[in-house]
Amino acid sequence: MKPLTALPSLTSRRWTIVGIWVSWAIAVAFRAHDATGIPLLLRSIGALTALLVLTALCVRNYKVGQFIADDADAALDERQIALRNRAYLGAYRLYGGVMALGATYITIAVDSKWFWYPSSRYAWQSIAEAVILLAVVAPSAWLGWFVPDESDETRRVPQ
Amino acid sequence: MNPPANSPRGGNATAPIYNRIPVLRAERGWSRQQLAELLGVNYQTVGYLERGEYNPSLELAFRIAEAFGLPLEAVFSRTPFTPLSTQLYGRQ
Repeated sequence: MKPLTALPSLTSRRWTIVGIWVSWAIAVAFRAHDATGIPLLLRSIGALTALLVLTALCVRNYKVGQFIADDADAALDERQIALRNRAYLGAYRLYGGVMALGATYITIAVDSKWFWYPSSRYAWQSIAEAVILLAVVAPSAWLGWFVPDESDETRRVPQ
Repeated sequence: MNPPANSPRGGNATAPIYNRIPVLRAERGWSRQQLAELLGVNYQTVGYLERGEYNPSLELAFRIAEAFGLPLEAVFSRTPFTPLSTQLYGRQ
């Protein structure tokens, strides 16, 4: 069975998830926002910087991303499999909600031209990449956000 | 004691199932790790079982009872267990 004793604390995990998703949003915004008049080169540098922060956060707290979500069934017991199934369900709901909001926003923005909307190939490409990334990381993010601290579990019962 | 069915702790309970796993494990001097190895589960899962935060499948419940060498109803119950001291001496 997969030992889970090295999970970071819940607070650390939540800050990491917030950090990762804010960096990710900044990276996408830098790459996609072509209405600012900022040259593509500068926007790319901004996106690259945000992605480097994102990568550093992922490496530092890699267990958040590894935790259960993509382990084989054989490595997990029945409780962990049940937990993983709920994470996939939670991620599916999150993904569906974000997609519904995004589609509503794009529809209103394109029709009314009240808000920014992606109009270049780079912008659409950035949004598409972000949508794909969200699908991949959502189950791990659900687990990292909701699974409580296991401090009492890491303590061995005295013999 | 049991969390809602969708608790992220791993609870799958719709109704509380009580168990004597902590007492039985302590009687035998086993650590959670040792019991977990006997059952083929993660030792954290033993903690969830002991706290009543996860109800085992029927198959795992039988494995637990077999590990203690007891019938299923001696380990699990739908009503709270009477403390052994009360059963032995007739007082709380």
